Amino acid sequence: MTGVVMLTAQTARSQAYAQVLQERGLRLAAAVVFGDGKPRAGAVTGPPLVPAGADLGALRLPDLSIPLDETLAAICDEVVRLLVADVNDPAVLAAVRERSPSLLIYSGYGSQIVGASLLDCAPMLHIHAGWLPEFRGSTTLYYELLAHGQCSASALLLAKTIDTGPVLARRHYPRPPAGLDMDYLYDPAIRADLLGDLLSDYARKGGLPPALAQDETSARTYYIIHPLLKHLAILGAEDNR
Amino acid sequence: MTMAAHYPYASGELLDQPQSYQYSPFQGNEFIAAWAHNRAEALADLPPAVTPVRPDAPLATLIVDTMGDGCETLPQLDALLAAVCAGSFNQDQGYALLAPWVKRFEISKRLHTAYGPRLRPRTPEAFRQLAPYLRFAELLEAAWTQWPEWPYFNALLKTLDVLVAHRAELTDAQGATLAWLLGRERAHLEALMNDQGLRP
Repeated sequence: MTGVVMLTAQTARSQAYAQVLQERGLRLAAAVVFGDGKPRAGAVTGPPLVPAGADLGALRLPDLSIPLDETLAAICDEVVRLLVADVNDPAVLAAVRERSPSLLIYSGYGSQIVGASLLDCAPMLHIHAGWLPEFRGSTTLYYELLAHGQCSASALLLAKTIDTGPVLARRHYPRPPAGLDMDYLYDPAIRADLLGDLLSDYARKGGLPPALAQDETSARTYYIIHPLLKHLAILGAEDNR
Repeated sequence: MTMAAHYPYASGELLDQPQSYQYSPFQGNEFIAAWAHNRAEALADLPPAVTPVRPDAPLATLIVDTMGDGCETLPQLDALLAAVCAGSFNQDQGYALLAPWVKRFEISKRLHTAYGPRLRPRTPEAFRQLAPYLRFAELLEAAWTQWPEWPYFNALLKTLDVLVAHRAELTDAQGATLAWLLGRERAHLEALMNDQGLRP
């Protein structure tokens, strides 16, 4: 896809995105990969849990044993690696500007917020694990599971305030199978699934679907879920299958 | 008592070194037992629970627009609690007023004694008084009882973690309020577990 650049860090989500794009035969003009190589909070330290016989339907789980660099090399015309920790580092901005993207795909660290300078480079596509605008903010996969017994992904263009940008697509997903790692497998898988469909359409039609402004009256913002509620969400999902 | 699971979120100097709660590991059913054990240990150190006296309803008229005005924290939380208990708001109105406080606490896990506009702390180091945390927990509990907004219960759990970690610094009266709050927390959790089809 000419002009489409992925701005990415070394995360399970990035691996999921790259693998789905490869599976669907989609190529990117470039990937800009940032990160200082130091372990991040929540980095996968062992094989994530995949329960035997898990029925995921058409959903594809990422294979975290495949290095991100390997998949990016297969799907990108160019891969740029920057040894910087922050997405808002001037080196990242320079690398993105240099490539004059028509569309950016964002897959950075969850704790970082993309600054205005980067947002001004090109429309920046982000997949949020929650139904917008009702589930804005952090760890919304779990909150939605608690509230409605299902998960969702929403595709939006990033704006200056968190999760408020125009929405391109939303999709519900079923409760994850009992015992499936949610942070490193299920969450990346549903985001990548929606991204793959959106970009397949983009490649076919030459553009994104119409973006819709969010209805602020139903918006709610969530913060990092307390471990007790996280356990309720996971255990409730397991018990209610 | 030994347990395979561990509840590490309510110990240490949490006001100086706040919990981030990021990427908390899944520990199975035993984690809930570990949490319950933590709270039971805290209750054993506290005076018997005493239902806190609610602020008077006329205080509700003192609620400020925290985006435009500064405020003293404790009187402002009193005013919000009075209004919630008096049923002065509908759910959306309540959310509009409480959300800035929830955001402020969730970002720093601290409550300062006074704020300027947009809830910016007036004095960066003035976050060690425990009275605001107790009142905030009361407010969150009252709000959650009225309206099923998950941010309220999430922030309540974290506020109670701070208070449990610092319970040795509470006065007897404050300790009795915390004991009451821990009882309410447990009751809410049992109701949630029933809703989720889990056995308490």
